[in-house]
Amino acid sequence: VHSTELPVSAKPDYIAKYTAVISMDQRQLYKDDFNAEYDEYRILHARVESIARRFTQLDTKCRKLAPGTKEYKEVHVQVLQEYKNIKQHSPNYYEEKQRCEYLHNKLAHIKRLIADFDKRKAQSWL
Amino acid sequence: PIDGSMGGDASCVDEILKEMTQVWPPPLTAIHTPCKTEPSKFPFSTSKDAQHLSFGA
Repeated sequence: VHSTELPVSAKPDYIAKYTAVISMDQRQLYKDDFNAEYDEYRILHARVESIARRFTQLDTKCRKLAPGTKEYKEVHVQVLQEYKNIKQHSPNYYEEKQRCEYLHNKLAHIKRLIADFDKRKAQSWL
Repeated sequence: PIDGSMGGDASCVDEILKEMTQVWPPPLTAIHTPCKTEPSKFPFSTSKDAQHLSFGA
């Protein structure tokens, strides 16, 4: 019975759940599933991205400064402070990041299947 | 992953920066509605003569 199953792999659940779209009904179902998680994804993505942007700014600043200087130390203190703030205000930040990554890949997968279907359909009209 | 009680030593800051500066792909855009199988409007529909068009009535 398990012969068709792949060996215990790290394949995410959505790969097996969402396969090639072959009908408009199926397209609609997939789109509904996409939309059901899209808002959560957008919120998470915006949060995670803004935090990453902030730390990238600090990182860039750090690299421009000579180690040991007062400014360099100040930026370091800032990094530690902001990191502490995140840990305090969003103790689940790490999980949020992982969830965001998972949703990104899952929704991208669904979107790709729908786009493939649309492309095939458009070609069949020619 | 990083202990919040650390002092200001450089390796900690490096670790934090490494962890927090992960590059994110731009957000996915929404899925648009499928194209209708026919255009919803005819280009000449604004014409006053549109009433003269019959669609196989």
